[in-house]
Parts: sequence; structure tokens; C-alpha cells
Amino acid sequence: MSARDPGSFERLATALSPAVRRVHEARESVRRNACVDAAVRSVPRIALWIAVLCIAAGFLFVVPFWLPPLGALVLVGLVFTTASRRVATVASGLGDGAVACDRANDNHDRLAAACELAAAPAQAEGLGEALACAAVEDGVQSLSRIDASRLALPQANAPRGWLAAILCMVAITLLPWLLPRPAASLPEQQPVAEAGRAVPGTGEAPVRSGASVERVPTDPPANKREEPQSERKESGAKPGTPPPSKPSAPVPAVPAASGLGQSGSDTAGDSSQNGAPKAAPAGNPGSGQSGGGQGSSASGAPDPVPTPPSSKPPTKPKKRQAAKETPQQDSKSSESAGAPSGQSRGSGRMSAVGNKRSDQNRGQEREDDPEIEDEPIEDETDEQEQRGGVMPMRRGDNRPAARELSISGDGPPDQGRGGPTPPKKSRGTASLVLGLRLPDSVRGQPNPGTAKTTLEQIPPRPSAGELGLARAAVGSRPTTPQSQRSPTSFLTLQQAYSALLRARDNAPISNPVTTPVDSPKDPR
Amino acid sequence: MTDTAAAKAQVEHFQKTFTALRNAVHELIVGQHDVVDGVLTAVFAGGHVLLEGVPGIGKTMLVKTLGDAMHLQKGRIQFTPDLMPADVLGTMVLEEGQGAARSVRFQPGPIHTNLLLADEINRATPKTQSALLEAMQEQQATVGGQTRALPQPFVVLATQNPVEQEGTYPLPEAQLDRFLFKLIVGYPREEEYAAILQRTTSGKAPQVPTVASAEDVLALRKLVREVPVPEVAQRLAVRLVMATQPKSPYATERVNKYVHLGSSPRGAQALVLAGKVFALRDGRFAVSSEDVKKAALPALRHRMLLNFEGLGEGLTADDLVREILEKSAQLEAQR
Repeated sequence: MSARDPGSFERLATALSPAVRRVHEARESVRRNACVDAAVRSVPRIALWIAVLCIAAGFLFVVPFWLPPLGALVLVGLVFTTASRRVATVASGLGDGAVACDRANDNHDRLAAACELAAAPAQAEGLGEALACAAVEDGVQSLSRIDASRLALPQANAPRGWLAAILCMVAITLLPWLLPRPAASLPEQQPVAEAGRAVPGTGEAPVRSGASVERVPTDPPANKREEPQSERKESGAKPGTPPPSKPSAPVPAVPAASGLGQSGSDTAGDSSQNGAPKAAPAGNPGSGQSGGGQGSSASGAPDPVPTPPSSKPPTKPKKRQAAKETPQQDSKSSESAGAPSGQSRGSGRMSAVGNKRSDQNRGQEREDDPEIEDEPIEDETDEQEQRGGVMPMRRGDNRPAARELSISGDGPPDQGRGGPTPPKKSRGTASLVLGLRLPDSVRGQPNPGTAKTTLEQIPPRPSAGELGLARAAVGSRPTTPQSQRSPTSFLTLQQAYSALLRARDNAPISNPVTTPVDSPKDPR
Repeated sequence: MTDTAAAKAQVEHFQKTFTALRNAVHELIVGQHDVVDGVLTAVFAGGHVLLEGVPGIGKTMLVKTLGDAMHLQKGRIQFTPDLMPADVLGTMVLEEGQGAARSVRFQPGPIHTNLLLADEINRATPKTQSALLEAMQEQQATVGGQTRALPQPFVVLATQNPVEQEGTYPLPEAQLDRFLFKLIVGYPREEEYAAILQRTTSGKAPQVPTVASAEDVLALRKLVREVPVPEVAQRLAVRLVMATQPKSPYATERVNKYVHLGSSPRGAQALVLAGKVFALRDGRFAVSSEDVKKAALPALRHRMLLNFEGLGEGLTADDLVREILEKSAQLEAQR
């Protein structure tokens, strides 16, 4: 269908085209500013989230310092790009320019109505069609009355929050340096534990803290955790020789060649350094539990030093597979150390006899090492397997369900062993009453009233008037022996009895002491 | 072109009639310009009006004057608690004819009129109030299983007193929604008191001229219905109505917090119809955004039901409607 009035529409479009262009530019500016504003405002939030995630995951000191702000910038850039594309796709039409022109000139939407009605298809002849044509004419005529250059354009707000965003970026950049580091709490004897976080398998230098690496040679040999294999071979016959400084990450343990004991990794040293022959008696190969990645094979020898609870053998499957590739190297190192075959394999820094100080250090290192801290439950399962069997899961040591079937209701809290149970919760009507405030459906104020009723307790008192006379009850009685007896004889008997009592009460007491106990003083 | 000229002539006739009616009513009613315009707008839009105000400010007189000015049949019902639906709608009565012939005849109630004044409508029980529902919406009344059309135009002008609330029954939402406008009749201004006293205390009662008839009103109602509504005005009406509904995307924070029930689509219909009347009254041929905004307060204030928290805060629906209008103006400026 054709437009109702193409000529008027063309005229309106020509007159309003500058307005449409200006409206489009203004709207685009507004939306772009809104995008920038939203992006700037989201910088602190995103950066904060990244920092929180880094801290929560324990990776704050692993990820590079520039990563959080860079991540925030990338996310903000993505948001901004997406929003900008959407802004670019929104176009302004003739109606938008007409509305802006109408509002600026107080034209009561005459131009907007005219544009819309002129472009709309014509309807059947009638009053409505005539009114629409009249509205188009009215809009076209209003062009001469208004100033088309006056437009009610949306005002673009300048983006705010730049300063906060920049400050937040700076803060998030400096956050890793401002926060207290775990290395500060370690003793100075263990710089390697702090600095020795190398990329596994690459032998690269640690991520940072190079100064700590330089201090390594001054450390005592007991604190060294690992040695390169070549150096191990060289120093294997010389127990007590301080190994050369090479910071390395804690290396996962390798299953022993015999399949029983666990030893250190391929990079771990031999066990001869700390007296492995002493700790590995022959004939009991591999039945013990090694100290983990730091060495200390305990082949068959009971470890005199109790293992700290946190010292779990790093038996991650990936590391196991990586370590299985070099079992022969371990055996060679054991042999070169002079230990009996199958007795002692491991990193060599710990002996089965145990160095108490090194054990403690090892435990501390393990506590500080984030890579070891988050070992899964399977480590615990492996540890239990080493003890001889998997123990039941006691981790969720919840109280067992109460087995009490009776309803007692009052008493101390139950212990799951029967007996009284805690007070039962009410299940009556009171527990069904809602705790919600419900609006009063009756509007207005109730009448306060004029009467007041009170309740008082008044004891009974005799009336001030004459006492009422007793009257004999009138009525038929059932025939009983008592009713058939003459009342006169009973009255005589009662009068005699009363006289006797009065005589006794008025008689002088001669000697109350000699009064026999059994003699009834009161005949009643 | 001839059609356009005829349309322009009809719009001009509408303007003149509206102005003449306004002036006629103001022969007796002093001041209350918004109320008079609102009642006339509702009459031409085909709606009903709820007048709320304290006693003695001319609500009943306004209705009587309007009936006289438009030469419409007037009826009045004084709503009381013991009023029954049959007292409003009418009832069937038994008539004895000649001999033993008896027949049942319908005795129409006071609702069968053009201009019905339902005085103090909130004093009747809900049962009686509901007797008006069918009449107000469908312009008909059903009694004894027979449906009878009400005379046209049919306009209900109900009054209620906001002060004396004891012994009243608040109007149900379904009935409130059937009123096109709720107009608040306030006290006259100081300069208006002199004219009121002069007109009402002298021996010469002012005469109200008759400037229109029922047929005129019906013809002008048809004209109102034909006024085109541009998209910008229609969109504004829809958004205003949606803004009164809690949890809607256009609702303000206070609407979400304090409003229990928002306006129904009848609110949007009222906005558009009233906007059409406003446009014709101003000599325009299409509804504008300003017309819709002008109709927002009387058309939406009785369609918003505040919750208990809102009532406790002392809020009124007028406050929230004004807030919605301000927010819509800000949104339009940002568009």
C-alpha cells in the first residue's frame, strides 16, 4: 500500500533531515559516553574481582603482577567494544528528528504525528481518514511556525570515575607488592623453599626472588631439598657435603621400583647423604613409607621421627607417571650411595633414621608450599593404603542420627544413644500462626466507648440486716431406721452427753502428772 | 480535501460545544476548572467519573448543572447501607389488570437514565455497589434474566467523602477501574468565595443554559473515537501504565516498594481516550504526548493500590503518579 500523502512526507523529510542528522549524532554521542562511563565504572569492580580470585586461589604470588590490571583492561575493552558496536547499529529516523523538533518548539507532536500519518497507508474513506489527513496538513503547516534548528537533544553526560579507575588499576598493580608475602614468615634457613618454584620439567629459574636464590649456598645442607642428579652422583659418596645451590620446585614422589616403598623424584638425590645405610636394613625392602618428594626413603625401617600431619607424600598421578620414566636412575643412585638394593631410594636429603630438624623443616615447607597444600583426598587414601588398608571416611564425622523412637520431649539434648530427647517443637495451632504483619482491612478508627468493665475479687461478708432464721426442711424423707427413731430420745441423750462434757471441763485438775496416759481426757 | 475540511469543521464544532458547556456549568459552579473540564472530558470520552471531596463544595450541584446544560435525563441514588441492588436496577412487579388478569411488569430503577448521580457511593454494601458494574462497563442492566440497554449517553458521576470513613465500604478495585477519572474536588479559592455567596444566597437563582443535547454528545463521542494516535503518544501511555505496575521495567523504586496493585489496560485506554478529547478541545487532530501526560493524574490515581507499607508511610497515589511523570520526562530527554 502506498503512503497516505507522499508529497507531504517528502516535504517533511526534507525539512527535518538536518534535525534527524543532529539527533542521530547526539544520540550516538550519548550512547558512546554511556558506554565509556559504564566501562570506566566497571574497571574497579573487575580488577577487584580478579584480585580477589587471585588471592582466593593462592595464585597472587604466582601470576605476574601485571596480570590483574591487564585482565581488567581486557574485560573492559571487550565490554566497550560490544557496546560500541550496538551503538553504531542504532539509527535515528525521521520520527526521532520530528519529536526532537516538536519538543523544542512546544509543537504538541504535530510534526511527529504528521510524519507518521503521512507515511502510513491510507485507510478507507471516513472520519478517521479525514482527521489523519488534517493532522498531516496541520503538521506541514506547523513547519512555518517553528524553528527547525531548535532541537531538544539529549545531553551527553561526561563519563565519571576516571580517577577511581586509575587509582584502582594502580592499587591492583601494586597489590602483590603491598601484601605480606608468605616468604617473610619463613626462617632464613629456607630461602630455597621460597624461591624454589621453578617450572616443572624445564629447570628454569624461579619466578622471582632471585636474591633468595643467591643466598642458597650459605644454607646448611640439611635444609636443601633437592639436588640435580649429576651433582647428586658427585656428592653421593660424600655425605654431609653441601650440595650446590639449585632452587627447584618440590618434586613429586616416584613409586619405588619394588612397588612398595615410595621414593623421591628423579631429581631427588640419593639417600646416602644422610646415612641411608643406617636406615635401611637388608631383608625388609620397601615396606616403609618415604618422606615424600624431599627424599627420605624409609625402606623397612620405622621412622623414629613422627611424620607431621601435613607432610603428605606428593603422589599425584601426573607426577608419578613423570617419575616412572627414570626408575633406573634412582636405583643407580641408591647403589652408588652404597645402600643395599631395594632398601633406600629417594631424594637422599632425608634418611630413614630421620633428621628431626629436617623433618620439621620439611613439614613447614609443605605447609608453605601452595602446590602441596591443595592436594586432593587421594593422597590421604594413598597414605592409608600404606598403613595397610583404607580406613573408613571420618572426614564428615557428623553425629549419627538419633535412634530414639519414643516421644519424651523434655530432657537434655540427645546423644544419639537413646534416652530423653530435647523438647519437641510445637506442632499445634500456635506454630501455624503466620509471623507476617497483615494489613488491617477495616479502615477508620474504632470508637473508644464510654463504659469500662473491671473484675474485682470481693470476699463474702454477712449482710447488715437480721439474720435469717433456720427453718426445718419440709419434704418427704426416705424411710430409714434413723428416720423412724424418735427424735426425743436422741435429744435427751445428746443433752446428757453435753452436760457430762461441761462437768468434766469445769472439774479441777488435781494432778496432771498423775493423770494416766491412756485415760481419755476428751471423751470425744 | 472536502473530507479534511469537514473534519476540521467537526473539530471546530467540538471546541465550541466544549467551551459552551464549560461556560454553562460555570454559570452556577464557581471555580473548580479542572473538575469541570475533567467531567466534560469523561462525558465526551464515554467514561464515568468518581468525585471525591468533603461535603459542601458543590459536587451534587455540578452534576445537576451538567445535566441541565446538556439537557440530559438525570437520576440520583443516595447510597445507604440498606440499599439493595433492586433499588438501583429496578425490579419486576406484579400488576393486576382487568378481571383476574395479572402480569409482571418491569419497574425500572433510577439507573435507567442518562446522567446518574451516585451520591456517597461508598456507603452502600459491596453487593449493591456491584450492581453498577455491568451498567458502567457494558451500558446495560440485567434484571430478572432480561438484559436491558441503558439510555445513551449513560454517565455515572459518583461522589464519595474522604473524611467520614465509619460505616463505609471501600469501592472494590473492579469498580474503581471502571471510572475513567477520579477527580479531587477541593476547596474554592479566596476570590471565589464572593461569587459563591452572591450566587447562592441571593433570591435570584442563576439559570443554566442548555447548549447541547444527547444527540450532540453522541456525535461528538464518535468524533473523539476517530482521532488518530501517533506512536509516540501511544508508547508513552503504555509506559506510564506499566510504570504503575510493580516489578515492571518502567516502575520506579517507590512503585516497587509501595504499590500493591498497578493499573490495568483500562488505564491506558483512559489515557488515550482522554488525550483524544484534550486534542480536540485544543483544536488539534492527533493526540500528543502532552495530552497523555495531562490525563495521567486523574486517570491513574485510583488505579494504583498502595500496600500496607505505603499507607503507613503516608504516601498517596498522586505522589507516585507525579514521580512516574517526572521519570518519564527524564527518560524522554535522554532519548
